[in-house]
Amino acid sequence: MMQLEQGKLSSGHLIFLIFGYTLGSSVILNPGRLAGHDAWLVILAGLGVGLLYVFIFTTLALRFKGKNLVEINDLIFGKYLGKLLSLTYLGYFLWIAGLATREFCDFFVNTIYQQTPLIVFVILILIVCAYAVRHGIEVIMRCSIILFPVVVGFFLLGTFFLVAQMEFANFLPVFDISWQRFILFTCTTSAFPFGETVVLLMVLAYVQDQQKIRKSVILSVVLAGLFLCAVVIITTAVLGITADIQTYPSLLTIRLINAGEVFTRLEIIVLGTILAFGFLKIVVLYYAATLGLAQVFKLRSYLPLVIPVGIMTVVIAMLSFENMNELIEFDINRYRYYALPIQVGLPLLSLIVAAIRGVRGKA
Amino acid sequence: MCCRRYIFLLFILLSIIIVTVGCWDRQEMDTMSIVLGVGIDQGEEDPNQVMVTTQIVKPGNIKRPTSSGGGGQEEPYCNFTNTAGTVFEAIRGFTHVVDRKLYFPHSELLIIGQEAAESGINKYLDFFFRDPEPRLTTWVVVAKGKAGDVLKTKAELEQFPAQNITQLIEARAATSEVSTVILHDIMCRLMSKTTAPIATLLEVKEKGEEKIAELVGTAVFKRDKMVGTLDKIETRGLNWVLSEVGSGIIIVSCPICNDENDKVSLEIIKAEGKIVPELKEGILEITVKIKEEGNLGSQMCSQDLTEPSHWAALEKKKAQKIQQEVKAALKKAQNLNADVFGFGDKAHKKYPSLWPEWEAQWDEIFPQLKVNILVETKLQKPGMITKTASPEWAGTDDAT
Repeated sequence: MMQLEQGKLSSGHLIFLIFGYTLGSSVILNPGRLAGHDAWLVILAGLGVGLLYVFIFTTLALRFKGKNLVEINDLIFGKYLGKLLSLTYLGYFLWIAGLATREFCDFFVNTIYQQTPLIVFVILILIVCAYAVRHGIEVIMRCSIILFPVVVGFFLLGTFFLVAQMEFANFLPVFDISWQRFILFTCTTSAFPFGETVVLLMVLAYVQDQQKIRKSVILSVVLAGLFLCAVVIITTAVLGITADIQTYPSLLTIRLINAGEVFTRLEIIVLGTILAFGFLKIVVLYYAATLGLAQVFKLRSYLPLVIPVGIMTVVIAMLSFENMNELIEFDINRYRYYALPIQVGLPLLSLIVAAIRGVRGKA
Repeated sequence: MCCRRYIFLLFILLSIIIVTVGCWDRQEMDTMSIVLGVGIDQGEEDPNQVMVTTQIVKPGNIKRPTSSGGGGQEEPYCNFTNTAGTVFEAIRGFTHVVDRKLYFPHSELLIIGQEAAESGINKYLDFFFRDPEPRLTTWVVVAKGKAGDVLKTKAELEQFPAQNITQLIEARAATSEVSTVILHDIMCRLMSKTTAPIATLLEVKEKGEEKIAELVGTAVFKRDKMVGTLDKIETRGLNWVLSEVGSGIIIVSCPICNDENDKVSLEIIKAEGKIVPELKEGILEITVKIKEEGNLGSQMCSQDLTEPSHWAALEKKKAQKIQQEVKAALKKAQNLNADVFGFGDKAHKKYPSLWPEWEAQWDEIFPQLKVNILVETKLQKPGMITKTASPEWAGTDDAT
């Protein structure tokens, strides 16, 4: 089969891409929010479980070195069943690309641009993403390298200004939730954001140093998990009990910055940069869906699909939820049931079938 | 050719600047009116309605330091009042009388009238929590009487009454005799199961013909309804426990002459309060630990206070005084049955397993709660002179 993507990544640079992708929109939504002041525990537990998922799909990637998801499915399940499975994955990628776009745009519309129609943001963001997707995975990866120091720098700056307002007694008593709820919320955080890294099966094939992929994926997911945990810890330390009812706790945290009456109203700078990771998330999913579709339908280039897939993402973003309330409720309470079978179930199934049939990639 | 390509790109970039500068949410300076402060009262005819007063900047009348005269000029602000069913409705209703849309992000003050506060504040505050424009760093004040009257008081040094009150609040650390809370603090306390919300208490006092706003203590809420007030001394008692004391003056009588009229004033430099819940024979007790450091500020008699034993006596007297203040606050809070100190939340954090039982009966536990107050004080510096300027100290010096 023809190579649709000529770009090559290095395993070191991959870390930046995965870091940004994993954080994505989770920084503003705080997926562990239902656990109240124990959200940080839920996120750490979710990270632990999420690493298990990472282990499963990297095993698959290592078994079929240099092959991406669509090619792996074809090898394991044959021509027709493999394509069906690939389309399931691709539909999922497209769907979460739409969800991420919606989360990202709802944030702007709900906080700053109240009069602006949602569709304006959705289209503008997807135009930028389409441009990045057209230029391939190398360009996307370079974006992540440029964005990383900016985001982390502003995050550290924001944290520095907030140190005086942090109240660590807010975390007491530790583990104030029941076990059932803890396990349920851990499922939520393992699916969003950590389980969503399954999309990397489309990207890992283009890494030059195939031996090192597991190491860099795990390292970057751990870093992203710790970063998310740090954001949640700061949010809880500053906001205390009110973090439970805030729509965007991290936005409010930054709004409370008041360093000597001089450094105030920084939220747009700090969160604007953190939201750059939202762009990375959409763009990686968008790229995976476009490339995968081109492979499934045996096109010579994926470029003709960029615009149609973009339009589909716009439609999903606009139509999948009636209102914002529904979106947040879905993300936190129901997303796990839809996502986990695809994030863990399918890669596990592929591994088992591959082992039974004895299929291996030509290394 | 290459050059033309760049010119084309430059043209595109420049046109992006012109075309994409906001469309729906643009706010032009000449179409918005900047709100400095908001007052909330019950409606005059129907108490279920809300009367909202806003103070708005009149940019044209702001006095410039260079302009001469200044007397007899028009005020640089104006107040508007509107009554409606809800806060939001009243605020939107201003567009009937003001031609510009109110702009809230610069509002630094929210005043609630006493009657409105007694009827429950949550119904008024929800708008300020929910709307993205007002900021949670806004100061919250309860006014004795009508909130609208506060915005009409005279500001001596500032140009705007709302700004004047904000400055008063920000200067509270000099005495620590008022409570200061921002919207976010109130929100935390409203969400707490036991801790009672507090707010700055303000009174409009008549001084000749002018009306002056003065901060007088603390308004105490139970759930979201105002139930009572703390005076200045009680408020400082509260602030000792909450670790909110920045500075202030403590007056004690001279330990040598023991005359009430020979007052010694001691300046507070830093203070720290700590609440420690303890379980004694199955019963909850609270120990409040206060550490204070200060300097000698002034004395009225001519005794030698720097002599070590007298110095220690002063420290002891100061500790007693602090203890009295805390006791006064505690007594008032227990009478009102409002846990302004947050003892309940501290107990929850230390004894999570016992807490569900206490939480249910906190209203019975709190008024009977035994609170031990431990005060540790230090007196650091005597100031620029050691003894007072009096003939008996001529020719003496500590070094000899």
